[in-house]
Amino acid sequence: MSSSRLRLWIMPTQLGSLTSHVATKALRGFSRRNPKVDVEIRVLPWSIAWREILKALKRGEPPDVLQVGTTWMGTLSHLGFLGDVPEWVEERPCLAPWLDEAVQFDGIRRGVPWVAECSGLIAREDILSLAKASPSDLSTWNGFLGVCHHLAEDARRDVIDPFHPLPVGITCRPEPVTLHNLASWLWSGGWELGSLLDGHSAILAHESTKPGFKVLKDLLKVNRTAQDMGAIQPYRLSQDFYEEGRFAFLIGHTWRIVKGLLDPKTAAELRWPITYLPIPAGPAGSIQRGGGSVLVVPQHSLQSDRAWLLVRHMISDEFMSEWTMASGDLPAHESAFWEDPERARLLAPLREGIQRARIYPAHPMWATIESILGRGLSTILWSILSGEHIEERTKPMARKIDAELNALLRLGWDLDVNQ
Amino acid sequence: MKNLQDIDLGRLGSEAALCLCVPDTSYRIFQAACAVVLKGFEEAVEQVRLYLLDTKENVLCEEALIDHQGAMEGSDLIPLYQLPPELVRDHKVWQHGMGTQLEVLVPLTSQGKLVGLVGLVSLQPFSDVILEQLPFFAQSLVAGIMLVQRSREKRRSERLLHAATTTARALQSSDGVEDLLGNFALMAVEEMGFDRATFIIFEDDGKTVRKAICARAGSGIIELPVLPEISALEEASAGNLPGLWLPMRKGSRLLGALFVDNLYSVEPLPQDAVQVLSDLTGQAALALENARLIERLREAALRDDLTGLYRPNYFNERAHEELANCLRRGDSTGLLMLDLDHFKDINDTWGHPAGDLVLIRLAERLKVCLRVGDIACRKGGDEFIVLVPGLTAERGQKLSERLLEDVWEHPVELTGERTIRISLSVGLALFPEHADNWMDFWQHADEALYQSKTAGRGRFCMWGDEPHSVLHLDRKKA
Repeated sequence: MSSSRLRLWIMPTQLGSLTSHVATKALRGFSRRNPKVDVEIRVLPWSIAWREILKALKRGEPPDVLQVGTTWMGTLSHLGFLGDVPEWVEERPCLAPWLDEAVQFDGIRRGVPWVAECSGLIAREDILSLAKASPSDLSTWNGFLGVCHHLAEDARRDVIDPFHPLPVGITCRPEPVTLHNLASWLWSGGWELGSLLDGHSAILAHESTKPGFKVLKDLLKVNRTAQDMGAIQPYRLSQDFYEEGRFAFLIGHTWRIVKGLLDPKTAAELRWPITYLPIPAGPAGSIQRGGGSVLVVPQHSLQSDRAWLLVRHMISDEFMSEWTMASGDLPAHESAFWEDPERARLLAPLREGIQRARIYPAHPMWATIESILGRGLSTILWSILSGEHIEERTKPMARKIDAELNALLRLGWDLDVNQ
Repeated sequence: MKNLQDIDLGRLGSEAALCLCVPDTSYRIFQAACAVVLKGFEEAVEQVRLYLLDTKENVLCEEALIDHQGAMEGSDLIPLYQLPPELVRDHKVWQHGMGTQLEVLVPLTSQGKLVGLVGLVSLQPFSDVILEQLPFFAQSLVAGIMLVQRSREKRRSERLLHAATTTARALQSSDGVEDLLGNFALMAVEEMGFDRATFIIFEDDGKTVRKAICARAGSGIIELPVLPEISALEEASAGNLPGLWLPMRKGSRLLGALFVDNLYSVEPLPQDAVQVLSDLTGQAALALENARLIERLREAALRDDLTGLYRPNYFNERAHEELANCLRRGDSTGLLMLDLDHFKDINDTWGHPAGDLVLIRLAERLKVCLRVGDIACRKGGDEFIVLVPGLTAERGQKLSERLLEDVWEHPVELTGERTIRISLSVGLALFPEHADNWMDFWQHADEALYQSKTAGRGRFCMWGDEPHSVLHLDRKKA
């Protein structure tokens, strides 16, 4: 092989500025085996990654290997930007069937699942013990609401008191993260987003959203979240939970739990013991939202063989053992990581959560749909926070959002034309 | 650890600015400058962040973030209203606590206006002496930043100019309406970076969609399975979706419209590109009108003035093409020869204008009865020929019967409430069943027509077969 440079774009997750450093370290084996290949890493923040990636692909100047979110695959594949995955890249099966579904289009694999996650409840174990709440108490909506009511009675609202926290940290900003955090609750209530999008009719105003909105309303009420807390940034919310102890439960990302379980140093840095719990079951069960990242090689890559070699390395035990320990990102494939009995025991609830999770529909216009739904959910939850009645006020709001979604779907005149 | 007092901050700013004086305008360049700043401060500073002002949104956008562990592109946004007025208005250095750390925000100004910010995160408070020196650091650094900004703007303008000239050239050199609009849509996607560009051409009523041509990022021109709905386009332009509808008018007449959108990327539509596109759409409207005119002239040259059916020369060309296609497909093609019965009597009795009207009405009935791909021609006088791709003997019989019936059931209304009922004689031959070349094919259809006529008119005959009359027509005639 002649010498060459492979350009790799990844997103930082919680590693921040350390991402590039950790990735370079985890790529040592690859560099040793391919001494003439120089891997140049660009760390793109998630907030700008989607646009930067599409811009590069549209200009025909993409990097050789890209990390993309699972929900981006529908669009990138639809637009014909992704190369087919050679059979030799993946040696082991994925952790869950939805991970395969997320990368497969018309029977062709367009990406390799890299890391997997699922939504859930993050809970402070110390508060659960004080409240004498067992995981089974928290396994249903009613049980969970009961515990929240109990915690709310003792909660301090004037100041942050980590020993008398508010029940649950929820944010309802007009952003996709609101959808990501709350979709599981709506799904557990019976909302079938995928089939509703296909039907082009009522989506947020569909009857099946009723139980989900009802439980979210109850949660917001029991929390008695003031409006400024509804607008809190997800990062701040997370800080409030982990650092300040403002809430007993957090609806958010699980990486810190993984790191806490795997790395004693991180565990020691945690101010309170925390644990992962599945979303309490509603009328449709307990449905977690699955997600994660995929590694792809652009369609017209001039170095596709080398690029796929790099991808193969990035899903290998060698790379993932370092990456997961540093980042808290869980491998999407069955691997040595998952075979370790101690880890398997510690991470069993998360693994089960991932295996049972549901993903968003792989709609080519998902980015726009997600942004409309995020904004719509936020509007509805704000109206609930303002004390407005669900039926009277939120139904018209939901219908308005549905009208916008339907207007978008009517613009999809090229959706049946795949490349 | 270096004593902060010993650092020549003006010089450090210049060194960082020097990093920016290279042709690279990518994300790397600001990271490199921040790295120089971080190195210059040694352990005194934990992290350096660089923000640039988005003047349209009044938000400071983080461009780069670097600390002793590594670098990454920034993603933080600080709305100006969240910053103290002494920093935003008076451009004063501002120091504030962030948990266990302190952050010093150093405003970057150019020509008296805030253009950005450098954030220096430290564990120790900066002394007053250092705080006083930081504006010199900023002054030196800002020269390099402005250079990069100008290079970026220049690159963007150049890109846009290139897109505009390429599109304008494509408009001039396009051949025909489809080519023209296809090229324009492709330019909007490939050169200007929109996700999709869809051209919609209206019928002369300015409302009904006649055709749509769509170009899509990554896919080029794509065949649309459904025509866009105009109301959906208008709603999208009026709402929050990143889509824009640019009508193409000639005077008050709506010729078509271009709809550009970023519905896949959700990226806001770039206003400068929209402006260029809007100007080019005006040019495209003119080009479209010209192209349509040329197509109409071309079409007129191919068609018979009286009936609007094709002329024999064009028919012959198409017929030869169709026979080749037919052989490739492996099916059959039918040739119908039609003759208007007693046309001479009509002319003699009612006059030539009435005869012309009968021919026009007959052509109209043919258009109604035939499919889009069928090719009808006025051979001359009262004789017509029709080539029907994919025609079998059975369907040929049905089509002939239908033509005879339809023409009979639609009498021609003359002035003064007078009507003439007309009938046809039809001859039919099939290729390759009855002939393996054009000459024989033609000859056999002609012979079949002759048989129909000699058998008493008002009937059809397939070559090699007996003439068929249409029985219920006979009854109606009776």
